[in-house]
Amino acid sequence: MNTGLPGTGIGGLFYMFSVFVMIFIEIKDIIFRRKNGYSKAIVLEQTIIIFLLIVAIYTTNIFFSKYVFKKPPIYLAVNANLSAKASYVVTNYPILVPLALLIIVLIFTQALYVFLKSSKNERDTGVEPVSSPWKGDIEPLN
Amino acid sequence: MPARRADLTIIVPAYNEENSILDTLDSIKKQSVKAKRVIVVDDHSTDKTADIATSVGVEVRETPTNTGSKAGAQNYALTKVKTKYVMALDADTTMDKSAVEKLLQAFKDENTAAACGFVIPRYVNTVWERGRYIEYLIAFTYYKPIQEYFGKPLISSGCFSMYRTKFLKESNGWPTRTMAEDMDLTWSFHKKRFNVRFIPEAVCYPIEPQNFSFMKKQLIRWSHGFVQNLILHWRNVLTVPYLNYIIAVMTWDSIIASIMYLFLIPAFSIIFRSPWLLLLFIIDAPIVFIPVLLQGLKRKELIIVIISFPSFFVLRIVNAIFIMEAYWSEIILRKRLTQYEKGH
Repeated sequence: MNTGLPGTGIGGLFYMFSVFVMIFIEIKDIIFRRKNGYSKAIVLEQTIIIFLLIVAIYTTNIFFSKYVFKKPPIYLAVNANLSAKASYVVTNYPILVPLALLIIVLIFTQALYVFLKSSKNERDTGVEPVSSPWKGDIEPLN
Repeated sequence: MPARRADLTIIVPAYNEENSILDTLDSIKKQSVKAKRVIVVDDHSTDKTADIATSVGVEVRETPTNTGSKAGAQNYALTKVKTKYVMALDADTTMDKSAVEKLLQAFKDENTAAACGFVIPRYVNTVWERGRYIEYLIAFTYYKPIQEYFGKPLISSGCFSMYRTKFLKESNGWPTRTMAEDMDLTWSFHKKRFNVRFIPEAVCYPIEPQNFSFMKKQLIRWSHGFVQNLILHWRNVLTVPYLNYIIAVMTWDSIIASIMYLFLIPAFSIIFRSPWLLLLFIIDAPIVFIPVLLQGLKRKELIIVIISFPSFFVLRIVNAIFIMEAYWSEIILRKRLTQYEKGH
């Protein structure tokens, strides 16, 4: 979610993972005794926030699986078919759905970047690009 | 002790701001580091904005004709700027005493093109102001510091940002091709590999929409502005590491979450006859509350945070309606919004 725009699903998760990356970068630089110029105060503050967020997510997960989706009997999970097992996992760990969506979105973004990069290389070698449907509607970028 | 003065021009674009401009100019006067020059750009106001600004001794420039947008008014003043730095400050926005001083720190790096600060609504009374208050607390406490760490603040807020004049002029000033010139300019700076910084210690207080009519006009601008910038910049921002992920995730959320709030959740609770499913509207309440609570504690505004929190969910539904309308209008109908309407 961002100011003025709706959505919380994968946005919040994305920033949580960003904080994990930040923590990894800081630990790596401490181990290798490198100064990275990043603000340590930001890392500390965000670490506290995501620790509390993880607690909140876990609590929300338990509430929804126990009271809303009703946790299925344990024997069903063990002896059930794939569809029932998948349903069991999702209802007990609803966080997995936005997590999977986040991974798909990030992979798709990276794939699009690679595709555009190779299209750009073709343009540089004189191959005509596909004309943009927006051509003529909007002024070109600076 | 003589006042410290920076090589800075502050531009205050104004259209019918007679009720708020005095406070803005007062907060400029009280800065710990003064600007060399302050220019109020009167965009052909029909009220006493220009007279009020002139009465307190500020330079007022009237545009030859109404430019129709904030960017247009700012660009008119930019031609007269000779200082190393230039700041854009909305005529309904005040600043903390050290805001200018804090933003200037960001420009020690020669590659910095823009710097923005923390935004908090000046008044938090109506449901709309309260919803916006919570939105800003989340964004400026949780998202923006992380964006800053990776060097990719998503937007250098149009209401309160400082720029290196040289880079701004090289970019032909504030672009007028979309409804969100601040987003357009920031993404262009990132594309050019300039630094854009977020300085949370520099705080400003804009007047946010108090009623639905005002909020509607602002959300229409912001929503259409986002979609227009997406259409304009998508190829280029894909090549900017981390920014590409931020925008991809934001786009996904703005579409999928809107569809969920407006259609799927109500439909599923009717189809499955389960009122429990309506809880999905607020499933993330504990998660949203954490950064807001922490910032509320920091700012000693805990009571205001708790009272305002429910308003966030009201505003979120309204946001969903307007962003869906923007996607439908700009992409499906190919009807571009070009009329800039401030609202008050």
